[in-house]
Amino acid sequence: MSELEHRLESLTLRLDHMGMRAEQAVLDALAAVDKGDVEAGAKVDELDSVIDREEVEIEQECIRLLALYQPAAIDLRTICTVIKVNNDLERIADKGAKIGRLVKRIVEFRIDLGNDIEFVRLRHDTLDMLGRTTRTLSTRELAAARGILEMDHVIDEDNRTLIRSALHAKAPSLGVEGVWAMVSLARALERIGDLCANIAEDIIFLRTGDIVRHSDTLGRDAGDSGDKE
Amino acid sequence: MNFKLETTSLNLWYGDFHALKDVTIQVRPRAITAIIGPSGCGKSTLLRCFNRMNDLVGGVRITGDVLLDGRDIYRGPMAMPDLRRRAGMVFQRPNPFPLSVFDNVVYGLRVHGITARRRLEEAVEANLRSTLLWDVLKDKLDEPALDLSPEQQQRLCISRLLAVEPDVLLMDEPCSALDPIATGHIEELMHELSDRYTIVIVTHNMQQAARISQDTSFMLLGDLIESGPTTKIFANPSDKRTEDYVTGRYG
Repeated sequence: MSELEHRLESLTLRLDHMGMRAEQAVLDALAAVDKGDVEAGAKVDELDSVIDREEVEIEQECIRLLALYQPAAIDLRTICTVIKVNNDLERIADKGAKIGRLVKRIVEFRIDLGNDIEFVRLRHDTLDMLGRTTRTLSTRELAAARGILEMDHVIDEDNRTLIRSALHAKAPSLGVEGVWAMVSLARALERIGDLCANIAEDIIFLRTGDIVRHSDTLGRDAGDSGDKE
Repeated sequence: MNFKLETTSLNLWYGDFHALKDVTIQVRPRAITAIIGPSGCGKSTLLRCFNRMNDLVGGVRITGDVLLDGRDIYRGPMAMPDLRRRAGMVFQRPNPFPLSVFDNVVYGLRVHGITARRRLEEAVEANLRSTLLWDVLKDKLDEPALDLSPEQQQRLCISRLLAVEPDVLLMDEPCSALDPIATGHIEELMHELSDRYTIVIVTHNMQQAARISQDTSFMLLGDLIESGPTTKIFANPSDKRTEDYVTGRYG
């Protein structure tokens, strides 16, 4: 194995770990929401800086590899994918930190999320999508990546339903600030779904060389250039 | 599209050695096409087919077609001097003649019967300007070409080629004897010339091929494995052998 191959292997491993950390940040934040644990929520926010540092280091390694090795083909696509996914994972972790900060307001305004069917649905679907994304980041399975793209519409609809409900049915009991907290939480989860979709698109690019962003076909016809593995 | 150069099922043997195997390639006009591949894959052999330089090698046998502007250069009516004028070659080691700068540039013109002084002087200025040598050499036209730097010698060889108004420039590793800065200058020159001329370059330097060419063809053991836009060959090649080569995993 060449030096470049070694370093690429190491880089993609670091990215996989970054994915696990980002997922854990969101899980921990939602656990804090469930328990109304303000301290646990604040801790997610504190640990976000660790992920931020890792993001910078991964990006620096990508730049070094581009400068030193002038990679081509699969190696080039791998580094481009790492750069993009790295950034999206950091933003997922940021959303986790934001959810962690919202715990205080959720507790303060006594928002009962455990019995809120719209929130439970959005939470479930988002975590499902996130879990599939971090697994597919490791396995790079094309069919799984396409499946993740299709989940984005579900998350978007869950988000719209929850926000509508917050603004109308729940508003009298929540009050303005309570509605704001619930909407912020919904938007953070919906944004996690968007970022997972971005990552799925990047996995499709890595495997096929096709850029499927902004495509109505959700990458189903990607791979006309041929799956490279 | 009308291609400038084409081969169809081109085979070439050096005696019993089958050097080119059923090669079919199309070269776009006024673009730079790079031919890459490991040593001994047939790159230079293919290049030399485009102006029949292989005719000078004993024991060579060729089957298939080689077309310049749609005309068969092996079986058609094109005379050899005309072919060699239209498809000129630049070699790895600069090879200026042991003559003055002026006489190097006009050598081909004199061979083709052009001797009027004024015409020759105009050709020298025009073609040294084309290779960005005029300002440096205009007061040194009578000096020996062999006194020039390697980069200047290579530029002079290109000027000599341009003077006979070719269509195609065939370049066989034109920068491998030059330092990186001189290489960069020659590559810039190639970019400028590609607006007016069709250029085919054989190179071992993959980064060079990626930098300067619009199209790239990858050869391996006498076969043409894959051809396409350079971006595709280097970002997303179709054939695994191409990918192995451009990523350095070959061999």
